[in-house]
Amino acid sequence: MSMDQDSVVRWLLKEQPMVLAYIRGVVGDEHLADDVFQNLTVLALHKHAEIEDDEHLPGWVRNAARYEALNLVRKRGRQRLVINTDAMELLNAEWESYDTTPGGAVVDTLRKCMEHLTPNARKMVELRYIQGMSSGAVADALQRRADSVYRALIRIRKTLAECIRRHTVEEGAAGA
Amino acid sequence: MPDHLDDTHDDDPRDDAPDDLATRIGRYLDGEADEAEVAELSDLLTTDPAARQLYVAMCVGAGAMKALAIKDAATRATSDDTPASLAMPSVDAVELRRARGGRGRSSDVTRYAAAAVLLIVAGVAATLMLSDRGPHDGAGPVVYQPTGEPVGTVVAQTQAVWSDDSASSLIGLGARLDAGARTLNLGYTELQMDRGASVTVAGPAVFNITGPNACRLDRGTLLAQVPPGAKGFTVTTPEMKVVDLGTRFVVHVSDDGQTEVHVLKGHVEAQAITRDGVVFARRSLNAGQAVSSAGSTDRLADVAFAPDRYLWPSDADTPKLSGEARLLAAPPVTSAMDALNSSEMLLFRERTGVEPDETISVTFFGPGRHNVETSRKKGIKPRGARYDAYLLHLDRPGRDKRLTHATVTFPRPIVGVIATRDQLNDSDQLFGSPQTKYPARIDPRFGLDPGDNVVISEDRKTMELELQGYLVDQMRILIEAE
Repeated sequence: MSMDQDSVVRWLLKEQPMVLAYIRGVVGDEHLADDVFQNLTVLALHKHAEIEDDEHLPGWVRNAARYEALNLVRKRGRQRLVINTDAMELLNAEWESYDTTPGGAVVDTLRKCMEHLTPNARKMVELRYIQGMSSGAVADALQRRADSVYRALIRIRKTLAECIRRHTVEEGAAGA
Repeated sequence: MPDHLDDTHDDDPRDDAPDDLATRIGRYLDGEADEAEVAELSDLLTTDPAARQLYVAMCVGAGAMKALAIKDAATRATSDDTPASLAMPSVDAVELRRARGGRGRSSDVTRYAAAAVLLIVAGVAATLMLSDRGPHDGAGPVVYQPTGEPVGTVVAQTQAVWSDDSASSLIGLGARLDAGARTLNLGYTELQMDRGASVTVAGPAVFNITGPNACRLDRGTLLAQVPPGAKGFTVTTPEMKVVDLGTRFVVHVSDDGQTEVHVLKGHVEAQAITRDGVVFARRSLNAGQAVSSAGSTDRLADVAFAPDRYLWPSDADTPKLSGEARLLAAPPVTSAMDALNSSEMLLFRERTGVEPDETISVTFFGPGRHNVETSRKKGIKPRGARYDAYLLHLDRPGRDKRLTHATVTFPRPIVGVIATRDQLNDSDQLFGSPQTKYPARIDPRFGLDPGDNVVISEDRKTMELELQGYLVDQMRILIEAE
């Protein structure tokens, strides 16, 4: 048995945050990740018969996403700007720990984690990542130094990442 | 959920110094890391589990943030009367609501889903439009220009990766070559010498065309096919000189210069030489004979005739191909999908005489029309039988939907065809060529698509292939061994 086209595309839609996350981790570039996601969707439309069932799907998508990602990276001559194969292989186990977390739950958790940021930090995140302003523009808007904003944003991203992990992977494992 | 996240008070001076690892990861995910930084990050991720944990967590954070941004953009861009055609089916809304603990607003769900659909539809449309442009947009490749007298032409290349530290990097199909040292890192290239000899070089190889009817091989494998008009074609290696007497032969030179010659047809004279080129032993070899320069200081030693250790076997055992398919003279060094681009199907022989001791899972077998969508996986119980394996690969440049047609007739009946990713991965170790690096289990790989069709003849020796080639198709064909 294999999965039908509709089910695969629905899953991709539903899990878009996690799929984009994986691709971003491979290519290290937000815009390139968007392009890869588009190609991945086309790939899934054509190759859905290879996917046996729901359990097979996340691994298949990771493989396919990695293929599309590396293909695009190669075409754009960015091979040396991508983490190496050994690292990617080792990361797979860590990615698998998120397999049981729906993409929607991750977004929901992020929202809740953001509620616990200080007002300034939340404002920074909204301007930079939701509204898509550059770090420099955020610094201007908040009347802060650009390097200070940059460092703060890195720190906030780390905090949010750890918060999401704590409330999805770790709590999921504890509840299992 | 905690009441607050302590370390996000951006007014605290301590917080102006995020840790080094988070900064490295952040720079990488934002496309700001340079080559050295990427290498350092790779090392960290390879050695430190905590780094891997944070890396994936920050990726997940970035993905979630992106989804929020899409939703926000959709909220701003779409009104409450979102066209029904863009709204997602209720199953997604239910799933998202469940993920939110039932507290999400349904209009948010619809907008988010609509935004996601828009992104995908736009993406798919853009991709399809791009694929229609074909692979040859933009400037063509720079081709090697000989500075000396040309002595041969590159007539075919498969997966050829030339050294990029010399003019070799510019060698493409149709290039005219003059004398000079070349380094072929991967794959193989076929040269038509101006005097008539055909030379196939399999990488990794270091060779030099020294004249219109001679070449030097310092490392790697070479197959020479010499018509009568080019009799006398000579291959010189660090330890041997092989003079053709109207034939076809394989020469292999190891990294330390030791040389083997295997004669497939006709006969050659093999001369053992010193590093200065002084001949100290000669042997006349006929078809089916092989010698090596290793293990003896005063003569050429007989070795088992086994040219297929290096290159394609004899005619009698060679499948016959017609249509848009091509036989590789040697198993490639890699079968990774992004390395074997060709407008034709490529077929190469893998292991021969394999005697499995357990059931082999195949996708289909037997006469008739087969398709991965309609076939059911089957097991073949070997019962002492022996099999030869072939891998067929199609990865056309570009992504048009044109069908590729070919017919392959094998010397003996087809036992079964392995055409799904998992089956291919599972069977690599048993049937894969020892010279070929197959994708690791984690690597992307594809078998046949539902749009691909295979017809096996009543005598089970011939396959008619109709492959979409839209993406990558691979299948492993098992035939009865000799």
